[in-house]
Amino acid sequence: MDIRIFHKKDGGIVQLIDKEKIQDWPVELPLKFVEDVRSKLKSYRDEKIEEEISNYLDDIIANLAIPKIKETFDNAPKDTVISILSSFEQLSETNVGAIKPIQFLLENLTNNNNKTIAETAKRILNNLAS
Amino acid sequence: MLEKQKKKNFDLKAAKDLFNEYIDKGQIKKKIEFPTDAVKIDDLNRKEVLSRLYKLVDDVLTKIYTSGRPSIQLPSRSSSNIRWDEENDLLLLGKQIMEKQFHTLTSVADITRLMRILEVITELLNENLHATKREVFYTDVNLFKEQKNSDKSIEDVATMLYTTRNSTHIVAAPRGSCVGRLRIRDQTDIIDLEGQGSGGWTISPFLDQIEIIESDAEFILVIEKNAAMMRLSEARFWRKYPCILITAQGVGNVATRMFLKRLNKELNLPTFTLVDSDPYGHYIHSVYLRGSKRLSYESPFLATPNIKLLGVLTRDLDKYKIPTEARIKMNKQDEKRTKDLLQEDFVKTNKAWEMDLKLALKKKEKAEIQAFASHGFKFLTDDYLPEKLTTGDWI
Repeated sequence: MDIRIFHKKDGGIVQLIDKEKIQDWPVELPLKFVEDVRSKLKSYRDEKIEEEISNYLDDIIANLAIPKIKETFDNAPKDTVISILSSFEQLSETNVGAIKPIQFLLENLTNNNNKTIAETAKRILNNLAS
Repeated sequence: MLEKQKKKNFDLKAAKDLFNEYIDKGQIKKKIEFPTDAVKIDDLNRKEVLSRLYKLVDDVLTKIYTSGRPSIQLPSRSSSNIRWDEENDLLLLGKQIMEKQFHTLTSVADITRLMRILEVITELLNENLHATKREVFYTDVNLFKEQKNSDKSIEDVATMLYTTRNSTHIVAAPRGSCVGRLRIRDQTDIIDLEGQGSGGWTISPFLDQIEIIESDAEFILVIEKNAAMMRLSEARFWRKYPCILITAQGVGNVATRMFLKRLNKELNLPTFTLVDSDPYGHYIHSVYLRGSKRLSYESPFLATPNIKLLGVLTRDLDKYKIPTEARIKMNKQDEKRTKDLLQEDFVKTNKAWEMDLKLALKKKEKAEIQAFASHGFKFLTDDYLPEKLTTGDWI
């Protein structure tokens, strides 16, 4: 299944890419996708569908985005972590809400022994706080 | 006044019914079964194309070592080898095979060009790059002389490898555009097609990098002309009627047709064309519907067999009271084109289409989409299209 279908009360539908397909995405992208769709929820004008999609997005965050980011932060080479943090920093400047779900992972990185990693994490957290 | 307002409250019932039917049916995806007398073409990834390419070159080398007279076999792309498959409603390539010899004087230039294209494709695939047909021509102007020669060799190589041209990483220059209720992923970018300005998103020829990620559209409308697309964009037509709009400014190029096919297949949405009421408009619709003869080997990846001709139908000219001065008299070429279309098997089996073309021949009239402006600039978006989508008045 490539697409997940959500039915509206008025007969309309919303189609979203299936979770399985998101697994192959660059590590930072699911957060952006989830935040993008969340910002659109009201435009579907259907409370039932809002709740169903919201649950689906929560599932993507909890079971796909966060584990993948945690795995990268824990095990990827430092250069990869720095590159991904740099993408998150850019995202935090334009769409800070997208970063919120990984706040606890960023807090863990503020004590990292690599100075660039620690400082980038702090800057992203500052963007979150402001 | 109240009656007029009531009349304008279109609910798009017919389009919605079709949409629900597709959504229900869409749960069981139908895979195309190729008829036994047609060549099967595959959409391949980089590694698979390279593997076929190396095997082809190995076969040539073996022939050189064993007989000293190498040759290449490929399906013929002549019109006698193009057939309409009624079951799948597609134009497909038959199984006639032609052989190109390396050692004859007449084929030297042709074979050299084919080998050069194979070399270019190998380079593109190995480096994971894409090139347009024009760029490929400029890789060896002395050899190709004219772009039509390199284009022909590119299509020959794609058929030799039994794959689509896009799989070889040689793509057409971008021409089509898309706007409406759709979000896509292009590598690390998420693109919202509602927020791309009045020009819309230019359909990328690098479709292997594009992924459909969100849509609440209920139908797709393919528009022949940019002017009509601008009218619908300016009206933000997709806000009132959730849809996706596409234009390729004339006959759909490969990227546009391939993108439309993917939207139609992955989202299971009813798809309609809006073209001029003339034989060329009907031809444009037929290319979206069944594929073109020139690229018949790729039809399964380019054609959208369930696309409907929404308008402008010949019968619409009277029904919507298009004034005489906004209609154009058919010339001899229009009449010939209409007669040619009437000879096509896929028209003969579609009685409503046949009737509309016969009516055009009888009246000897044609009209552009813009003719509706004679009833006001908003007539197309506020009356004509919503009414047709509500009543199901399409072919």
